[in-house]
Amino acid sequence: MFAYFASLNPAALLRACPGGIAQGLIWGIMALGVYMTYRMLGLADLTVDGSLATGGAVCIMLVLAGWNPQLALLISFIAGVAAGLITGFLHTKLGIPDILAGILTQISLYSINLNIMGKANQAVNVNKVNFLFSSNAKFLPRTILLTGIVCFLLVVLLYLYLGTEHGSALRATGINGAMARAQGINTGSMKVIGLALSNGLVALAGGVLSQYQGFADINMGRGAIVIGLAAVIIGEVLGEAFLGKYLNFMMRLVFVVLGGVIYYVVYVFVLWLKFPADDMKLLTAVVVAIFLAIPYLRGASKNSFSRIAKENAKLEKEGK
Amino acid sequence: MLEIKNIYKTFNAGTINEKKALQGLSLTLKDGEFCTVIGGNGAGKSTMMNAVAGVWPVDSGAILVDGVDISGLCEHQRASMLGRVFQDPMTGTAADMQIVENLALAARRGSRRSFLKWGVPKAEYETYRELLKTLDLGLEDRMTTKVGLLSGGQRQALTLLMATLKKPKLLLLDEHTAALDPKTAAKVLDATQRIVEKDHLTTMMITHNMRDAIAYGNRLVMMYDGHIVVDVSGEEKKHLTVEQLLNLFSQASGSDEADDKLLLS
Repeated sequence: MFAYFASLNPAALLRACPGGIAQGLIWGIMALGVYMTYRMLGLADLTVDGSLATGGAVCIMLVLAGWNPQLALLISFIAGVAAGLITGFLHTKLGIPDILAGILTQISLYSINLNIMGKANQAVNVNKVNFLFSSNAKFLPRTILLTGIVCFLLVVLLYLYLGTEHGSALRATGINGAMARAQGINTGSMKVIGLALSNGLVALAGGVLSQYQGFADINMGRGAIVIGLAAVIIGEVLGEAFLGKYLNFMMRLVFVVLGGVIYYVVYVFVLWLKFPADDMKLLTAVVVAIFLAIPYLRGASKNSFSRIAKENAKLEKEGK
Repeated sequence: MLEIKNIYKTFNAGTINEKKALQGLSLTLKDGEFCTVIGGNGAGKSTMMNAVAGVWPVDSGAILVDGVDISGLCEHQRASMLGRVFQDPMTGTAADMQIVENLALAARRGSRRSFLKWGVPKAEYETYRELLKTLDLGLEDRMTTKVGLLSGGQRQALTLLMATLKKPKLLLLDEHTAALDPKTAAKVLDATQRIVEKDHLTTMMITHNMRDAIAYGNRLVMMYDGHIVVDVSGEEKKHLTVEQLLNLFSQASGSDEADDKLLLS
């Protein structure tokens, strides 16, 4: 036991933290996309596992072809929008349930991503290309600052959009489709637009992530939806804990991004504790399951048959 | 105004659950007519209303509003002409949005939703406050409250306001007071009457309450087996009694009166 603690190096943790924050912010972009479908439209969109890698693949291949890295990110976003449109088409025009539509697009994107990259992994020589979102320790503060600014801008844009006539109609679609249609809202196209924007954000995050790590990999999106959900849920739980009823919509979005950061800082910490890296996905799934279950179990414990049975049994005993 | 011409609708055709819901239904409502609709369960009342609203396409026949055939338009395309209040108070409003946000959504029924305009411009608050005052439910002081926190009666009253905010060519009320307690139901019905009269709205109201069906509106139709079997209006309707109505129904449907009382009381 002593040997284990002695082997832990506090300085190493400190060194790893900035990287965790940078990656967390990148996944925060992705979490905003997941928030859009999962919370605003009530759709569980599994396309993101594919579109994240698409964003990365598009960005890296364009940079390899000599494109400006920032322009490449814009194309990543557009590629993600296209992926979202396909899921939206499958769901609203062909009547495929949302989860299945997302899975179909996701699996087809696996092939598409391989075609984009030509092989399972493509790397850029980071010594030759200057990425704004670099993981090089020398540039890490700049990366964190820039990613933070990008997140902030996206939060503001999303906040503003959801306050417009169109954004209000999109929210109404997610809350009550029958009401939305009765008010003349085309709920089908709202869902398609929501899915497209969401996957655009996710692919943008994929592009930034590929710049950060200097490569794109066919598996970089595996389990992305779980991390995105983790960020959304951790962010919301913490936002409600810290701000309570003062948690307005803008802060909610900020906390979704922070949820991504906290997830990655914890990730770094757990790795530092020498938790096997192979088991990290299992751990993530367990954490998300716990966070998803907490609100349900809380409600169930207040509102359960066994609680009233116990209480009545107790009263009866005391009555004797 | 509204012309329903010989429409048919069968659900689950060719299966064991086949239900011929509408069978040659025809009905014409004149401009400003307030028609109450009664009939037993399964008579096709709600089906008629959903056919007009475009929840699904009819199998055959035509639905015309102001002489224009709308049978080929889908639900959201027809919405600009229609105001709808549903039986379930949860259906007509978005629970997770504020009262003003719901009203603003309704105010834009039939217009393009812009990416560049605010969903609820500050300038519209006063208009909505005045409108909410007319309901006399105190909602004008809770404009930023989420609708999910309102009672069923309050939600129905708000839905009614939303349905008539942009004057519809046709107001469809599908048993909109059935889920409310008698006192609240009376309040919502009074508000309905007031709004319909003020805006001179062509209205169709389904109800299971025979007294309401007689008391409200200037026309009454009874449905049975997917079409209309009784159609009373004008002076004749004013002097109608529940007893007469039941007799009319027995004659029309050729069934046992005791059963009808169960169905319609």
